[in-house]
Amino acid sequence: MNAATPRAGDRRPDDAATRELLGAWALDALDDADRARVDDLVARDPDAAREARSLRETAAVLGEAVAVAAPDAVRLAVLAEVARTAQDRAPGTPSAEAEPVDAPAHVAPAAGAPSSARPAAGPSASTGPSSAGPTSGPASSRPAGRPAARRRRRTWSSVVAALAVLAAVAVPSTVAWRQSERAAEAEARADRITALLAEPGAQVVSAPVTSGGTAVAVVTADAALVTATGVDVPGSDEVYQLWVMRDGSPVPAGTTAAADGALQIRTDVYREGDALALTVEPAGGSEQPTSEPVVVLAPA
Amino acid sequence: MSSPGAPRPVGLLTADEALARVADGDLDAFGTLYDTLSPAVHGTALAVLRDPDHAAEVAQEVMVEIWRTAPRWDARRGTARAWATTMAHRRAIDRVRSVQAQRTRDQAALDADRPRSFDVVAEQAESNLEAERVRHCLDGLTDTQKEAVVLAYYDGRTYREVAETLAAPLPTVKSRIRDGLTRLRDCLGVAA
Repeated sequence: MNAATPRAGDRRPDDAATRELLGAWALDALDDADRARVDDLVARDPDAAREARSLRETAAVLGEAVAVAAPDAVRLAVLAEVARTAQDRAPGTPSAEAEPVDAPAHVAPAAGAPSSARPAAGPSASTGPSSAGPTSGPASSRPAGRPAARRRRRTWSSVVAALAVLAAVAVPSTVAWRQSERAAEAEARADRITALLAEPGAQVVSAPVTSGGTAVAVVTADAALVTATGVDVPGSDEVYQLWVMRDGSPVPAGTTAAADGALQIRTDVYREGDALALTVEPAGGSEQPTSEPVVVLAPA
Repeated sequence: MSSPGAPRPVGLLTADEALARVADGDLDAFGTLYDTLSPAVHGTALAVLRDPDHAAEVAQEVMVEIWRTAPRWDARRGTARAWATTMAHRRAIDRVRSVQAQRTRDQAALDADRPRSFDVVAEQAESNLEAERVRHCLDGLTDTQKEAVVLAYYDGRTYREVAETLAAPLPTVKSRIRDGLTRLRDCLGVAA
């Protein structure tokens, strides 16, 4: 545990008295000095360690007995914060760096998470979507409608990228969104993401858009919400069209323009196991895609 | 930790299985772990703090901490659930002892007037199987044991504070807590 790690088998005269404290220890009812005594005993004495463990598990049942679901907002805040929080690993083990990816310049990356926000630590190299995507994100430029490929496991970095983008979209800073119209749009987008992301089982997948920007999909069993930022604004007679890729065939799932380089489309056509693709189509949309997808999103 | 054969859908993992995957940076597994553990984490904090805002903040802190430190979790030293609720309980107590939270809580304590029983603590909890088992098993304790355990855990008091509250000698309270918890353990069927 530390430099003065006690050895198993050591005995101390007051061990019996210390052991009396195990119950209070398991309930966190000790001051620091007493707790240190018990920790020391538990480290030396396997029998005491067994008792300690069983009493802790008993205390855990006391906790479980008063379980109350946390507010939905906590789920979203935790997922957003986790996306930019690196895990503690033993030195030498590569840890997944949590770095917001491709947050548009005018959007601060999730500055608003309540309390205890632990900014991603360390001098992590900025990983743009173009570097994170093709090399490590199997969800990136994959041909649509290949179920086998679709089931490939997403890498950690693609998930981090997705959540970081979401966090940036979902929590616009007041400074960044000065114009009220933009703010209203951003808030509406964030609200829709929040609502879908709060559903248990919601999944997130992201990939770079070939013409620039990043697309993120939040999918549930029967709905999908695609948000993209930093994308080209299509020509005046063009729109972005979303396709649900099912068994290799595209099903039309809505069209939208892009404003300020951002777009969002929700579809209820999506079902678990489908993939999503985005193309640029003539105004009004098409029955079948008439161009190559600018992005394909394939949930795991 | 990972089981042999076909991997199970992430939604069907036990908390321990999910945590083992989270230790490898698996974010899908973290979603499952969150859904499995966060009610107990949040409920534990709420019981001790009696304030929804503080409890939500503790739940958020603890779930992020679980993510951060998952690679250090050692299954031999306890289950995921025990690890999580212990963390939540500790954080809640730390917060109680901070001045700001103390004010809110003192008022609540005044309102409550006397030590709360398990039934009072569990009032806002969603009824669950563990609540029924705990209620049943607490009834197997002596009144003084029950009182000491409930005060220590759900009110987050030290055993010294419990002794003061109950005007009982320290060694007596120590034993009541240990014996009470041991009896609870045996009744609940927690592996010794």
